[in-house]
Amino acid sequence: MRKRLWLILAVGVIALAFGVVGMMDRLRFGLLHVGYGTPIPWALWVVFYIYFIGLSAGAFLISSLVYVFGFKQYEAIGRIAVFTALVSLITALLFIWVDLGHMERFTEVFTRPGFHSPLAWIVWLYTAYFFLLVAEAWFLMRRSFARGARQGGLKGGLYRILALGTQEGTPADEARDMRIVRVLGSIGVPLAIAFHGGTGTVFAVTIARAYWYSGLFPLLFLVSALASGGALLTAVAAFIIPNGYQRHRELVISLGRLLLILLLVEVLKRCCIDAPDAWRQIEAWGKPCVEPAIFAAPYS
Amino acid sequence: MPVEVETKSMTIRMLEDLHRALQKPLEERRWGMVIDLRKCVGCNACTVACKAENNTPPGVAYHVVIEEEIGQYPNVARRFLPRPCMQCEHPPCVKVCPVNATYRRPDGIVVIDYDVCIGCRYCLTACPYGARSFDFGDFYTAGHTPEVAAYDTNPSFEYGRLHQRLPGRLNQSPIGNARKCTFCIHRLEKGMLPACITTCLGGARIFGDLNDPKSLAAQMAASPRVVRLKEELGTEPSVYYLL
Repeated sequence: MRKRLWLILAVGVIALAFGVVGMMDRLRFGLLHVGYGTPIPWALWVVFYIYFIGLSAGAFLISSLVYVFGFKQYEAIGRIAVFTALVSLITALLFIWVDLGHMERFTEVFTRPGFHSPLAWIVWLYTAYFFLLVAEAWFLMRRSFARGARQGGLKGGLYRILALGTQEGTPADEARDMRIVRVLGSIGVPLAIAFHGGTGTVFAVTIARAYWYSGLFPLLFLVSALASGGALLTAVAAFIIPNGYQRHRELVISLGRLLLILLLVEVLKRCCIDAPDAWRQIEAWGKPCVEPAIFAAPYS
Repeated sequence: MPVEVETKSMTIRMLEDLHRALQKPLEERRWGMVIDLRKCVGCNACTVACKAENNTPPGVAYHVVIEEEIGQYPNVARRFLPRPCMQCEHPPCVKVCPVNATYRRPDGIVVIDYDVCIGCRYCLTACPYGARSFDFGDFYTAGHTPEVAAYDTNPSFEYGRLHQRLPGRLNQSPIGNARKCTFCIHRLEKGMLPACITTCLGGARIFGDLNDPKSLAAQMAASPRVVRLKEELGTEPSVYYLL
């Protein structure tokens, strides 16, 4: 247990060192070293942003299985799912923030939004989702924080701050907390579908890009999000939680089955998108120039 | 009865069209361009004139000439397609901007507010014509000469304002912004034709007010051999090509 914690911490510190160097380069040289250009204006950082936003939406929707839809068998990963969703969301937003040409102007999306742009919509939705996640995570953790606050020292002080001065309370208080979580989760489900479907819409409306311009894109994004979020939580349940696989064998296998179904839906969707071109045996306009850019360009 | 023959040079006529249009209120003008592909020899003088006029850095090109080799030996040919911004009536780039930094002026020119643009580059992905560029903050001589050459830091006067790019000032617009062809608004306002128009040695480019039936541009745009790029997308470009 201790050894594993140190290992994770060491990996984290090394990654953080890389990140600090990268961030300094970003702040000093702007986007000079990112290696993309005008023909391909969105590259790796957008990919990471989409990936982590997908993880967040997926993890949150899986957590809603526990807190909204009452699938008690997934209870063991409920809290960690909400936490994962929060961390992934922050990571995603950090990636897209450093990708902006003018990082200092991001607030303009709030002060002068263009609501004809899906991008403006999703930023507003991410913001709402962020506050919802923080609130839901706090109500899920409140009792644990309050319990921790009873110990002394630095740790106890930290817990007291996190508990915001609340007491552990009675089982009735716990039931109230869970009712609030359920309400927040119920608002969160359509919100998650909206913001991640919206993320797909960003691409779906660009008629200039043959690979993206498809009404199936928002749906594809949601299925991918559930699959990647589900996969992450399965890995967390099996490997990160100590002795996870032994303790939560049923849960891991059940999540694995869910993943298999999602992956099959994913394959079906991919087929639906690619089948018309494959059937015509003619490459759609704009597509032949995309592959070399993806597979042969620098940093690809 | 003797027939009156037009003997003015094309440039003089376009200038007269321009000055006539400037007498009208802004919203009654609609600037447009007609490019005669039979007269284009692919010399790229327009591209160079645009570079010089707007001082665009490496990777930023408001105007390019797309060159293609077609056919099979011995029946081969080279084809040239000059491509400025199409100044669409329904510009896909404008709709996707999350902060309303880019908009279509009443006279039909699509512009970018450099002080507002956050540099998300959504408009670059949305433009079907590849007409927008992103200013990454590069300089032609940076890293190649001990000092960045003076011509690299010469200001540009786009939108009638002075924009100076300096190495190390990566937060200063237009660095970090999307950039695009403006039909040289700053020149139009001073009664001058866009740089690419006056420089065209084949006389292949015609510029004028499409709302003025007497303008050369409007008359050429009415030709039956006129096409616009990717009409099927419904963008309604203001740039016409004569085949």
